[in-house]
Amino acid sequence: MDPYEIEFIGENRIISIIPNFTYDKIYLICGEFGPFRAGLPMNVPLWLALMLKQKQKCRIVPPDWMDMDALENIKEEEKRSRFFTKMPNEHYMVEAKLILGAASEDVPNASEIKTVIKDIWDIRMSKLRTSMDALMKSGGGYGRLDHLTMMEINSVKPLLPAAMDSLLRIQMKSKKTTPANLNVSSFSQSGGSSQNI
Amino acid sequence: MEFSNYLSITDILVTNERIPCKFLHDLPKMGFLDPSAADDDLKAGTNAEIPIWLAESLYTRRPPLVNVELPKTYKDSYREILNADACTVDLHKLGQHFYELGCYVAKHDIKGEVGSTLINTLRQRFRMLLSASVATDSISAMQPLSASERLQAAAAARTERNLASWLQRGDCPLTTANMVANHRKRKRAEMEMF
Amino acid sequence: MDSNEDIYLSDNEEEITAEIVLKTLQSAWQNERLAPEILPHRSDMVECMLGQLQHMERNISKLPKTDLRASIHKMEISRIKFIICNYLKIRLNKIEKYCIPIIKDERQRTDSGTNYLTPSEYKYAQEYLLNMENHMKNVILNKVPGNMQSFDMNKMAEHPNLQTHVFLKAHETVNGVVLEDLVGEDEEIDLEEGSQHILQYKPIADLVKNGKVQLV
Repeated sequence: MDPYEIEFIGENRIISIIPNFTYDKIYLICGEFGPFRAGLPMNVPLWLALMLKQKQKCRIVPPDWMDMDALENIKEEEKRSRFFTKMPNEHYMVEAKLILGAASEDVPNASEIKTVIKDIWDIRMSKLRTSMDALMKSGGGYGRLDHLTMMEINSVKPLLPAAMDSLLRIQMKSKKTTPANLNVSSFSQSGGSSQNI
Repeated sequence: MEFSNYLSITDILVTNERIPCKFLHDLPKMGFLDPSAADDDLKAGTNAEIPIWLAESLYTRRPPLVNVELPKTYKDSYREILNADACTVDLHKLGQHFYELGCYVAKHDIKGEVGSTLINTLRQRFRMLLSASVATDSISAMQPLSASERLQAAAAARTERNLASWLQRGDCPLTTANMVANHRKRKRAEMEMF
Repeated sequence: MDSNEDIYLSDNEEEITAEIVLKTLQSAWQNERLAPEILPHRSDMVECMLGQLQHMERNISKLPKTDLRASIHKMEISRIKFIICNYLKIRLNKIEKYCIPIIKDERQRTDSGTNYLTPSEYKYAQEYLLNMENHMKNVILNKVPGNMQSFDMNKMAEHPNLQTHVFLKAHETVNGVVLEDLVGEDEEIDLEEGSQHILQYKPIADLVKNGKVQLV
């Protein structure tokens, strides 16, 4: 998938805005939102928030997780753990990029926050590469990847599934007779006993 | 590595590769298959290299007319090198359809060692694909890769590029004053995100 | 402008909100986008949503051009149209690519009433195959020796790779998914609710179709 398609999916997330106008409830297909009261926070889909922001009709309320202390903790935890930690939401990168891109003035410490999110992303991406290599080395038939977000999963396509496909194809075509080691690997800490590396 | 469709060019190329075979029966008028033979007829016991598509059909006859032998790149000495460190091998030079050809050959290797070498090689070399997909000097990173590995690394590099351009697009949140003062920093920040 | 009036699906008069229809469509689109094979069609949802959009567009045309609500609704309509168009386009791509096996499977499925294609998609598939066959004949087959002129469906068929590896998220817990191992040591894994995995498509194809897992 293209990153923009994942961004499109992420834009359906609900976030909080403070409108500067007053209006009745609006009945969208994806749900009803409002009423809009100037100065009072309310929830809307991210795409609508960005649209209103562009028209200078609202301020965006930064999501709770977009906070230096919270993010520093996440970063430390991500560094410390050999597994992927749970992110504040499934589209954290999309939310960060769109909100910080369109409304950085609405986010306190925007540039520091941008840096720490980018650090978290980098740590996770490098962990992802190591995990992929480990998965291929230890089996390459199955992997568990809890807590990876869609954008992160997309970044290993088509490389990882294609390599696993090739492996399976060779196994099938060459009719390997030696017993294979357990085709299992794990990216994550949660879950049962079937995914020890 | 989807190469087994009827109209797959890769499969046509691979099955056109020649592999060593030993003929098990006398074959009249087939001497042309062995370039070193002066005779019109092919004698039992002759060794010759013939295309896979022909070898496969002669082998599947009952009784088989040929015995398929391992090409040298799939024999002990090469297998040892590959199993020791597959990443040092230039597969493009060794045979650009190393895996695909290997799959045909492996069926004739009773001990299954070719098959496990192929799997082992693919597993080890995965990290070469990983680094080729982000290499700044992609030409030299791609060079030692087999044809199918090159395709996979190129696809991965495309993903990386798309992701990088997604990360870079958008409004830079720094102000004008900062832009002038920190031109270099800004440029770097832009490269990294948003 | 009220769009959230309840919608009745024609076949079983089941009550369903526009929001649910949209969610279902979105997940169908995502699955279709990521599954190697063609999935059972959701034309009920597509038709329903198209009706809804039409209704919406009629209402927007009554609003003044500069009305903020009009531009919001237009934006949402464009987003939904993108999903529907992309969904239908992906299905057509698969129909063209895997035309021969799809038609073959579809014949059996039509007999049992579990068809994957809509009638118009089926018609499209058949016409596409006919065109392809005629093209092959005109360009090559009619010009080669008689014994090579036949159009061999089985040889020409391109099959989706059902053994390809896919990423999924489990919507609900499914225990005992059997991964086929080639040396006969099948392995069972459990998909806990909310967990994510990469595995072969084939063992989980049915779970995609019945909505227990979502491809990601």
